[in-house]
Amino acid sequence: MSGKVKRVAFFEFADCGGCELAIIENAKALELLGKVEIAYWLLLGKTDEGPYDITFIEGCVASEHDVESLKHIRERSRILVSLGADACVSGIPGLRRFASNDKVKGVYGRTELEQRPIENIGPIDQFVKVDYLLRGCPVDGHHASRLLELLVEDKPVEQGEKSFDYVKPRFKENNVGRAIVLDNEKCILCERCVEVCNRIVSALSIAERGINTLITPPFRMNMDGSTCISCGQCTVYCPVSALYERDSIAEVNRMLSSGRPIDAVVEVETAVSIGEFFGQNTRCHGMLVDALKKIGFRNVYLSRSRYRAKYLDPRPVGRFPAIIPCCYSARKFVETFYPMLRPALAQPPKPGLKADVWIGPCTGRKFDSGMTVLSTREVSKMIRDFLTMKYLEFQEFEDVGFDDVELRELETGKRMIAEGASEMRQVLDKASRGELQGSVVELWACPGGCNTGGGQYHASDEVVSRRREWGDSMGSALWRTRWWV
Amino acid sequence: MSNISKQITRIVGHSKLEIDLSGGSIKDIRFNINEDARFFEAFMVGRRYEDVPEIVTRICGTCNANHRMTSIMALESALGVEVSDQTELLRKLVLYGSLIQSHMLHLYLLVLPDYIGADDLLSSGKNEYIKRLLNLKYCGNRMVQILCGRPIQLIDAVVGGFNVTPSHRKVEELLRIVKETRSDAVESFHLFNSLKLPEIKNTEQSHMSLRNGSEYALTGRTISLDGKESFKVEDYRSKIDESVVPHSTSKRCRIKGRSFYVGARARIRINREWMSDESKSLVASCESSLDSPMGNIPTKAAEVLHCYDDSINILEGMISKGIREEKPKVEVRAGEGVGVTESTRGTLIHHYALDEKGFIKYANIITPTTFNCQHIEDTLRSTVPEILGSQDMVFQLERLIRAYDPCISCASHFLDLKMRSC
Repeated sequence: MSGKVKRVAFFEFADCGGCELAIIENAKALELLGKVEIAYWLLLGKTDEGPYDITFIEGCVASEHDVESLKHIRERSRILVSLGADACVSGIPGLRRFASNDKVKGVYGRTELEQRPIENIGPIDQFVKVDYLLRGCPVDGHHASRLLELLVEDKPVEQGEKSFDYVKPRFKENNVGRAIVLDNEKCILCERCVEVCNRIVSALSIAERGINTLITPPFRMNMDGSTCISCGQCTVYCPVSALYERDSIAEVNRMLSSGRPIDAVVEVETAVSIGEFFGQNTRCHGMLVDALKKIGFRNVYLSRSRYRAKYLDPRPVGRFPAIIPCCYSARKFVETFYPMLRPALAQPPKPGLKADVWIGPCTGRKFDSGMTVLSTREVSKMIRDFLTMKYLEFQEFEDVGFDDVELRELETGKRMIAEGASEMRQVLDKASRGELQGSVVELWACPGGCNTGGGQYHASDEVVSRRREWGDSMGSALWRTRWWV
Repeated sequence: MSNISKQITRIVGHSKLEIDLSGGSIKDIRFNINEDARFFEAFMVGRRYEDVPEIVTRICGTCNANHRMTSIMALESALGVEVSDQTELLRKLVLYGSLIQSHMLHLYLLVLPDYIGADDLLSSGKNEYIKRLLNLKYCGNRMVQILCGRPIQLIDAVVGGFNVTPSHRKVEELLRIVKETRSDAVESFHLFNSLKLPEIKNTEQSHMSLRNGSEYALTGRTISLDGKESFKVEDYRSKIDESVVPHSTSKRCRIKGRSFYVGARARIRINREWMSDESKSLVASCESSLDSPMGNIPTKAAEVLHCYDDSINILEGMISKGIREEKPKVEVRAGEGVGVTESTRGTLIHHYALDEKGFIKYANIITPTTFNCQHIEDTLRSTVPEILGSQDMVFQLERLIRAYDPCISCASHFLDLKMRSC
């Protein structure tokens, strides 16, 4: 039917006329209406009798006269579209059903009207078959013009587009931060990320309403431009991985295939939790080392607290304590929320070990580190792919020690550790009041520390305490001396 | 000669012109409003006062901003809420925006095709008119959208003020748009003033509009009749007589047995001295049209220019003074209040009574088209005998009705006289 000009009709029953105006005000819809033949539209002075190809009906059915003419219209129309809330669900005029009967009757007094109202005032599809629904009060001009375009050009209306209300708008681009990626296309609006982020920095929130609802940083900012500290907790909680860390697997594979010897440094928290992904209930950091070596790494080091201490350069400034932001996220947290403490921040860590790839429980590290960063989830994906390729099982890896096996003595001293946003706030509040003069403060952004970091798998309390126990024996988080609480 | 029954097109809503010619003479002329009755006043009773603006906004798609503002003012007078000067100014802007877009929609889309020999504007090929209409409508819509969140069925205007105060940047954007499209408004006036309008006499001329003695009144507490008599808005019941006719879902209104006109022409006659200088001179150039029903067309265009000029004044004042952040504050109490604004098509009255918990006990709305209905019918009665028998009689009558810009969906929401007791 492409050659023939479509005959379009607009009818209205009990309504306000706002949806017609929404269409007239949309430039694209106007352009389309210029190409078709408008057969019936009182607003434009057209009163042709049918048949019509496309009929839009606005307003709900409120009188006997409406019922008759609606049936007549349906017979003469090929496609019938309900336009707006009144036509789809009977809208505001439909409220009449809930008003008491004598009040409604009182309106006319005894006068008998020619246009007799009916009791069961209702939407169009209560009386005749409707092909498409366009919802909204008023309808969105873009939706209307899109449907009109599809119908006029005889293009198939996709299943999802049949009732525009249930389909979210297409998001062309993901919100890509340096560490975290937000893909609104996947999002199911469960709001778990909003909940978890509210406990940390409130960088994610709900915007828009109705079908346009989406999760986004305020004002549709880029992830990095907002208060997001890239801690990655949202990626742990997202059930559909609409929020995920920026993928470095491809980059690491490229490095490995370049022929250059590649060293990796593994964080203790990753070493103790890697078995969980492969169904192991025992400590299997040795197997992780073997797996990484088989994948192609030359040396695999274990990163420990001692190294971290070495990287940093704590210097108490005035009445403020020395603040060591142990992860990037903590640094941004201080810079964003406690700018007056900026001078007391220790310098960013410099790699102590000559390593190319850092494997840890963190997503924030992707932001600032000079190394390529793999999170626990990413490294387990790499290992899984390797196993699939080689027809192997995880148990077949051997228990191999780390290349750097020397255990160091632990430092003792007046150090404070704050894990998670609420603890950080407590400590930093004290620090900004000058109560912690002369001491050293370590900050970790993730609630519960690196064991429940943004790059880890979500785990039960039991598993987390197991991680902590195993990690402690390997030299992790041993400065757990919270004398300040 | 057969009877005439013609559906009037190119007005907002459904209405019919019926002329009974049985026996060779004119027996009856009826302007028959056959839009469905919607019973707004009936189902608003028993709802919370916050619901009222949301519901009345949906009475009409073209004048939704006016309905919302009027209901808010009525509720404020019932609840004893005082609003700041800034809120008053912002409300005025919203009313101006609504006026601009609605007048222009009427003039270009509904009226103009009669005079350029086209069936409708969209297929007429007059793209420069369409473009100008879209520019002007964009300005009006944007004004409402920036202040109230949406162009149609606005949301942010509430009892006590505005949910959101516009930012400085938004106000500057608005000023820029208004200044850019002002020339379109001037050109529109010259276009509509140059149209060859038929001469139609209506011997009985009576006009009604708000008048507050200090500005071109769009809001106020005193209604003036012909600039001579005036009464308080609270007394509207005793001054205006309403009656029900079976052939129409809109009631008929008279003052002292005489029909009267509300709308742009009435406003200009009564409030002329406070118009902006340039719009005043435009009105002077179409002086004779102030007496004729067809004169609605150029006077509406002149009024739009006043809206532009005053909007520029208000916006510039806001930018130089700065905009304060304000939040609406409302304390619920029992009360009764009337709110009146000059909407696009004329005087709009909302009247509510609340109980002590803020539930609506009584509601009444009188729309401009309800006032004008009787005037339209009277004008038809005096016109039909003169042109009876001519070839294009129906076209001429239809053109006359169109010039009134009746808004049928507003008029047929129903008025209630008996509900006062409940």
